[in-house]
Amino acid sequence: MEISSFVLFWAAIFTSNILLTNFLGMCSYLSVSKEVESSFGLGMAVFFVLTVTSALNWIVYHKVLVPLGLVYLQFVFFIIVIAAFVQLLELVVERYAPALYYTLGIFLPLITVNCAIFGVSLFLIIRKYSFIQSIAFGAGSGVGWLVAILMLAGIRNRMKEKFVPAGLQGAGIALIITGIMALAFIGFSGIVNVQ
Amino acid sequence: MNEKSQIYPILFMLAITIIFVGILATMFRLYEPKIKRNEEQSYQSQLLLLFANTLETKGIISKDNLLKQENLQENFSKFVHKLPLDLPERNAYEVKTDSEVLGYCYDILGNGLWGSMRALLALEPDKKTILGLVVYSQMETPGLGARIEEEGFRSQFSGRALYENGKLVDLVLIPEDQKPERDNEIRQITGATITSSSVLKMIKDEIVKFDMDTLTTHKDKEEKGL
Amino acid sequence: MTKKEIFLVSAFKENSVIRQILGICSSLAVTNLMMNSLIMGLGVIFSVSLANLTISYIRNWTPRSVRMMVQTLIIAAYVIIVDIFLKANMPDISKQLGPYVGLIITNCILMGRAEAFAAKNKPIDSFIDGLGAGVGYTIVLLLIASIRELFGFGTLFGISIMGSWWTKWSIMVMAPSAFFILAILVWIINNRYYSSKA
Repeated sequence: MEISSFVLFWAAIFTSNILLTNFLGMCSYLSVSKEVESSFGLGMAVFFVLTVTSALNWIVYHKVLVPLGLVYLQFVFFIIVIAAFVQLLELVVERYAPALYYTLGIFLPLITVNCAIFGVSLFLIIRKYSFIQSIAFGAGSGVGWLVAILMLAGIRNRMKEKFVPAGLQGAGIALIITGIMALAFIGFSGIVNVQ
Repeated sequence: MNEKSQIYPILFMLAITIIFVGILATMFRLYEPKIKRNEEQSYQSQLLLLFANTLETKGIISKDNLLKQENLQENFSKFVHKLPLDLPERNAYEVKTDSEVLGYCYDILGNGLWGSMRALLALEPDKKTILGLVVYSQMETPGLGARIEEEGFRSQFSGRALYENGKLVDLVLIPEDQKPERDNEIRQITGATITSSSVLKMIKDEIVKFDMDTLTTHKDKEEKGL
Repeated sequence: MTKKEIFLVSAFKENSVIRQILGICSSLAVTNLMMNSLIMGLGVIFSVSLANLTISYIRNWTPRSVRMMVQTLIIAAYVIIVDIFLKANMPDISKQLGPYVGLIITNCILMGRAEAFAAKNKPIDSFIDGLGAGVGYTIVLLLIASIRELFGFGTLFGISIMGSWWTKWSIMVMAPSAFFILAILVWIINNRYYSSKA
């Protein structure tokens, strides 16, 4: 693909935001965005995982699966790489940042099945990115995810939840805000062709 | 936590991986022939469908007989001839009966929103007018971008002139509920602008490649007196 | 808890989508058509119940340090089996689902149930819990899809309900509408059944 890695990085944040344009990575995003602190923590973790696993999965696909003719196992290998890396991350966070570990709770292991991470790995194969492009795209998507969750956390924080009807508090209002943000981001679509 | 050594987790993981990958590999090998056959039949049937009307109106074979599953392979070999092509990942076909050429078909490749897309572009014998289009492989959003496979969208391409005054026509998108006023207007799928324009871009980019290559190939054959 | 209770809690009282906010990504993507939702739902039911069963079966031998990788691998394997089976025997349906089979692997519901239930409970119970979670998920999906398809296309399961006079609501076809419909669904259910908790 002729698109420059630099442009790809910025496109992944704004015009093709993995969360608001492709709607991947919702579950943890909706639940953790109650607090700005933990949103930042989770966002950084996702960013880190995305960047590294994008690079790793590119290598696995092009240097292992293709030469060996095992392309049909790509789902399995990608998810194992992601799971292994997140397991490693979990051990590191538990050791060095226990407060974050307890705040994130089940959402740290759930990074493994964060569709955004798996989706990005699939995208970079489908769109035939080079190694550098994959890293740029992975990093950009990570930043995009971080930006999106911070935006939601910020809005929820500022919004006086007492004005929200009882049934909508929490997940309900988060969904509506995200829906509005997603509608807004549709305006970005097509500005940069990431194919 | 583990009185057993550190080796056990690794061995366990290895064992589980081997078991499940083994199951998957077996299933894949088992079903691979059937999956390939399904894909091939779908491909052949869609290509033949593009020329079904022509074949029927000329009284050569009825649509039903043409597309019957038992006859597919036979009909395909009878009417469709693969042309030598220098382009990777693409194919070109000449569709003809014993007496005349009914048209050409290009197997083209493009990029959609979620992934790549492939289409069969059928052309009249003069290679200047589109006979029909069928998108046979795409990864767009089901119910949205995937609607480019629907009759309502792709029938718009039938009968379109590819060239105007010697230049390639620029097809443009108009909203779905608008009536096309000019010859180069195509009604898009509402909410699937990117996917719709990907189809147009694919046709525009690919036609150029084929023209250069197939024309060269044919010229070569003529020069060599084949 | 009895088997029946496990199923009902997993499907309704602690519904994965409405109460636990899991499985959202696919809820947004496939709910534009009821047929897609049904197939996705069936795929999830199959995968999550069998994955739960298997994970529960080997839970006493699974070392903690590779627990997640094992769960992920097993889930992925079952989903791919579903994918291969569909491609071979029902190619049209497989084409419809296409890109979304991959999404089942990352559907948080599967990992969520594996971690929360299968890792600590007996195989048959886990199987039923998985069934419940899948069924609950499918019901929610069908509810959202019924509204999106009806107003977006004027059909239900492809059968035309509204006549040709109906102007399709484009927003229903696009994903953001699922956000709003799901929010309203959460609102209604929270109000009716959980007014004390909210």
